[in-house]
Amino acid sequence: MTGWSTSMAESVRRRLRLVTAIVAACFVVVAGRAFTLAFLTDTGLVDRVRRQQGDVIELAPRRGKILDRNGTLLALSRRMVSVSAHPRKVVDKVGTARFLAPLVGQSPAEVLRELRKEKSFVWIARQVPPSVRDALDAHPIEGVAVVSEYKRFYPQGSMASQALGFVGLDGVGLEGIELSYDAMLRGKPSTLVITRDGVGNVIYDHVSDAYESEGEGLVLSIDLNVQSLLDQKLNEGIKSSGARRGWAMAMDPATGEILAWSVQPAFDPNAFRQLPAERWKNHPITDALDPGSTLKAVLLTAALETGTFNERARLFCENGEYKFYDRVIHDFKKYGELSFPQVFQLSSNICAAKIGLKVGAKTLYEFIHKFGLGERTGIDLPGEIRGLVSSYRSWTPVDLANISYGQGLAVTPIQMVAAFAVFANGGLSVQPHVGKRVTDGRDRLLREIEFPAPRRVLPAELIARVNRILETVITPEGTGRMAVLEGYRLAGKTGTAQKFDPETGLYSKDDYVASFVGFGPVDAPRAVVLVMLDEPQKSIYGGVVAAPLFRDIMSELLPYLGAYPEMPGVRLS
Amino acid sequence: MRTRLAGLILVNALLLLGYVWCRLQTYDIGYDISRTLESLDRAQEMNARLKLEHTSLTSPQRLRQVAEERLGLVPLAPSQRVIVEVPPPK
Repeated sequence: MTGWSTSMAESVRRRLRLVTAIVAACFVVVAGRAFTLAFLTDTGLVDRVRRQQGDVIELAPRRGKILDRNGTLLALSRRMVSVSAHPRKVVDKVGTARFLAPLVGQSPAEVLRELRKEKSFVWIARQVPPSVRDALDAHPIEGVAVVSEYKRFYPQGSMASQALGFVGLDGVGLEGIELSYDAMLRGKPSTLVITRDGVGNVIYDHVSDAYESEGEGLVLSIDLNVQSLLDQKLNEGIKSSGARRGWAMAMDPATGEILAWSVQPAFDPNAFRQLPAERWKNHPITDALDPGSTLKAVLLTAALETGTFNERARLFCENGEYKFYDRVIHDFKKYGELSFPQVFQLSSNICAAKIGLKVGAKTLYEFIHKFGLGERTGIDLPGEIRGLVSSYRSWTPVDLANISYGQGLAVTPIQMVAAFAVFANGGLSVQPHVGKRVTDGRDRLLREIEFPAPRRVLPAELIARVNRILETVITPEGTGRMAVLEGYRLAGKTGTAQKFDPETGLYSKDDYVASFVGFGPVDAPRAVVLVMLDEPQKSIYGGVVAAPLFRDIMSELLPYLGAYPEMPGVRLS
Repeated sequence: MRTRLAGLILVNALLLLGYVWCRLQTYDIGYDISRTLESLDRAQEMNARLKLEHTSLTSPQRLRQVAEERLGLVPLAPSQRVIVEVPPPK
């Protein structure tokens, strides 16, 4: 028994040693092979594993938000999905079209038309709701793919649309603020490093910067409440005057901040493609028009500054008709002798021409430039033009007479606003602007946008003298009588200009631009407001169709901006 | 000698197990993070949608329309405004 046990035990031990040796030999072979693969040969296995399991995804940044000065949302990007297809890989085209059509809001025929194209890539639908992805995840179709894209939404519809602009399908700014601040709003893409498991599920690894990158946000100087007011009043004005279109702007003269930018009829940036490009046009910076009598404010300043005239001077206004070379200048009424301030209060073209001829072409030209007319204001909106103010050297006496009352030169509406801001500012010029500050994705302030500081272009004493005369325009005796607003001292100027017809090369006898530009309260101006009506039908005069709009706007705007009427108040004891 | 070898093998085995356990935990947490980020993404999208809806509903244009057309309100005329002078507190 003992002998058998010993020999059995020896045999088992031998077998065990053999098995151990075989297993050990296998391990040595495997370890040796692993060592060789890992350290001695370049098999590219590591790269193969990385390619199979890992992935680096570039995340398109969400475009930054645009807010008004009070934090109200003007533009926001939402993640949507776009559905594409590889038509040759789609087996059941009819069934696929039937399945996709209701999801993407198209007819089966439309989807089928795309699927029947002999192409390797077609878009079935762009920027449709994310629920489409869920439906396609639940019922995957060979040859149909879904990609994420951002879609821009403008929740205020057509409000301030010309200032805001819009973006294209690829999220690039095409017009307005969206274009001028495009790089900032668009942001930079971030990279997401992911690992996939055996069945392709994503295992989160890490993101280079943040999970989702977002462009910087932009706060505008526009106040949506003021915008709404100007939109409404301007639309009422267009309707009642029968005008073709109109523009109205409100600007804080102290800072150059645009409070409202109304171009009517406006367009909805959510559906800008449905309207012709003409409707997207930002007329206040892209159209140059004869300013008409509003330019007399510049003439008035030049006349007083050079000492050519003073407030006590008197002029004969030729009883409404003045033959000058081969032209006849007319006044709205037959004025005889007027005092210098009355020339502007009653807006006499004849006497303005006489003043201009005395002031001289060079001086008037210099003052036109001092007010920034005929030069870009530098506003942060794309497409601003310079206007057209030819050199004084080319002016004939007739040209000088015409320019004295605002015909024969072309300026943009924003230039007129900036010019009147000089009056409101006591001689300081500011750069109009719409951008105000930059924020992060959570609306936290990153930085204020800097613009040039106000610069003095004319002495304050001179501007005070000019303003006293401009104030008489908005009195019961002035051409701006319809802009009189009880309880407020306002200053401004009416304008009625014939439109230049580029086809005939002459001024139109039928088409006019009626305007009113002014500011208030005179002692501490809160806003410069310009109203322009293009081709009004009811009356062509700025004092008749634009001045009442200025008054209606100011009556609501000034209290909103904290300037209350000077009226007897109720005192609480 | 044998006990030491067994101990060494055991320690190594435990270390390997620990390493494997850590890797499994990493993957597990990775899945959790993926799921959480997905729900965060959905929540952010919902937030964006609601923000848009809220903004459209409270747009000054819409409020003015509702006030004037549905409630028959009109803006105050300047003559209807009364400035109340409140004496400064003593």
